[in-house]
Amino acid sequence: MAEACFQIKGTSLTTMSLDLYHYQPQEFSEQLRDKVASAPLFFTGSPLFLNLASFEGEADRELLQDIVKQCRSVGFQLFGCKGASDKVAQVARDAGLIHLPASRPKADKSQAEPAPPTDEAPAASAPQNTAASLPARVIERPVRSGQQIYAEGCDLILLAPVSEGAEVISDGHIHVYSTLRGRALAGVRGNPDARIFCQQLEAELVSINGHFILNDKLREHCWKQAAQIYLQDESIQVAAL
Amino acid sequence: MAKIIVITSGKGGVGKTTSSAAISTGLALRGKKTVVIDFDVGLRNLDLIMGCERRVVYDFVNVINKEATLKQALIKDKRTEGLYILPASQTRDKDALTYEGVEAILNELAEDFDFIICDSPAGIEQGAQMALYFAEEAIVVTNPEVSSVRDSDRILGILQSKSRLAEQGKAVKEHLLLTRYNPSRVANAEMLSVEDVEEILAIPLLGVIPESEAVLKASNQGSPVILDTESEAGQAYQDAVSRLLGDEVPHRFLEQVQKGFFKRLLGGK
Repeated sequence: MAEACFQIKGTSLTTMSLDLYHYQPQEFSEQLRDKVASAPLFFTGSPLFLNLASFEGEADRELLQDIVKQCRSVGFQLFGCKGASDKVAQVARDAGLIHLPASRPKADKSQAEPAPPTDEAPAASAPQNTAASLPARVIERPVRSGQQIYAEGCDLILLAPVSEGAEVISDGHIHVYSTLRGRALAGVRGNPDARIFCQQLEAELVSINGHFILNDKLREHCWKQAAQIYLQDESIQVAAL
Repeated sequence: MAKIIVITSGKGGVGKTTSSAAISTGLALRGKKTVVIDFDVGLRNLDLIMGCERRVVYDFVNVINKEATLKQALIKDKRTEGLYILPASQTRDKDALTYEGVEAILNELAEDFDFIICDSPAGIEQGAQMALYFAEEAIVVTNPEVSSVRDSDRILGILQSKSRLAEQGKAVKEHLLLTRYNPSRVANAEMLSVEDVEEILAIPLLGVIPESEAVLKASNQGSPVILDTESEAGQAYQDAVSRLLGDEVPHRFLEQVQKGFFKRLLGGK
C-alpha cells in the first residue's frame, strides 16, 4: 500500500472574532481603525471571523460586503461568518466567507475544555493571543510609589526596583531583575500559568490569575531572596530561585 | 544658559527651603550667578530664611501678571555677591501660577544666570508639579524616616513622568540630599541609615546634612546655614555644592562623634 499522502486531524486554531453589536458604516470604520491603530503589528494580517450572534439588526448582503471590505482594508483576513441566519449564510458564502454554524463553540484557548461562549469571551481571547505574539514590555527605570505599569497582552520585564506603593501588572509573566517591594500581579486577564520572578522578594502583595498573598505570608519564605511565585492547584507557591 | 534645578521632597518640613537657601548661596559663593525662586505661593518662607523679608516689594505672581518687571521683583542678596531671590506671593494661592507665565520668567532668567534654583512647595499637586516641570535636575530632600522616603519616592515618579524632559522622553537628573541625619540615632536603629535610604530610592547621593542646632539658629536669624562655616551642617552643604558642581568630595558626618577622653578612659568604646 502506498504511503499516505496526507492525514486529516482535528485541531483547534486560535483566531479572533469580531462580535458585531450594531452597525453604522462611519462609526464602525472609525472604531475599527482606532482598534487596529492601537496594536498594528498584532492585528495586521490576523485571521478574523465575524460573529453575528449578538447583532441587533438584520444583516443583509450590503452590510456583509461592506464589513468584508472594511476589515480587509485595515489588514484583517476575514475568513468566516458565524451566527448568521440561513439567508445571510448564503450571502456570506457568495461573499467568499465560510459559514460556521452558530451552535458550535468557537475555537478557544489552547486548553482542552471547550469553554462555553461567555460575554467576556471577546475581551478575554484577544489578549491571550497577544501574549504569544507581542514582545515583553521592558522598563529600565525604577517604578516609584504611586506609579502603575501594565504590560497588556505580554510579559513585563523590570530592570530596576519596584518601590513600595507601586504596582506592576502583566497579562503574562513578570520578571524583576532587582528588588520587588511593591505589588506584582501576573496573568491578570486569566492565565494560571503566569509566574513572577524577582531577584529580591520584599513585595507587599503578589497575585497570579486573581489569587493573591500578602506581605505577612510572603515573609515566611524566601524573604529578601531571589524567588519565583507561581500557581499550583489554585494556591500560590513561593520557591527559591 | 542657566541650569534649572528643583529642590523638592513631596513631604513638608524636611528642609526644602533651608536647602534651597543654602545651596543657592553656596553656588553664588563659588562665583556662579544664581537666582532662587520661591514656588510656595501663599506660604512664603524663603525670604525669611534668606533674611530679606522686609525688602519684598513685588513678587513672582506680580511678574507673571505683568504688574511688575522681573528686575523690579528680583531681590539682590546683601551678603553674597551674585545671588538673587524671587519671592513668592503671600496673598495669592498656587493657582496664580501658569505654565506659560513660569516658562516666560525662566527663559528671561536663563539669559542672565548660571543657576536657577526652584524651591518647591510640599505635596504632589499643581504647585509642586509647576516647580519641577521645567527642571533639568532635581535635588530630592529626604529625612531618614519611612514616610519621608516614601514621599520622595512618589515625587521621583512624578519627576520622571510629568516634567517637561519626561514628556520629551528624556530623564531629569536626580540627586538625593539626606537632611536631619543623626548618626547616633541611626546606630540605635531609631533612624534609617544612609545605605537604607539609598537602597530604597536608588538615586545618587548628593550629600548628608547632619541634624544640627545651627540650622534652626540660622533660619531664625535669616542667614543661610551654609554661611555658618563652623557648623557641621554648613560644611556638609558646602560639600554638597561641590558635588553639584562635579567635584568628588568624600561624605562626612556619617559616623557617631568620638566620645571624649574621659569616657574612653573609663572603658567606653
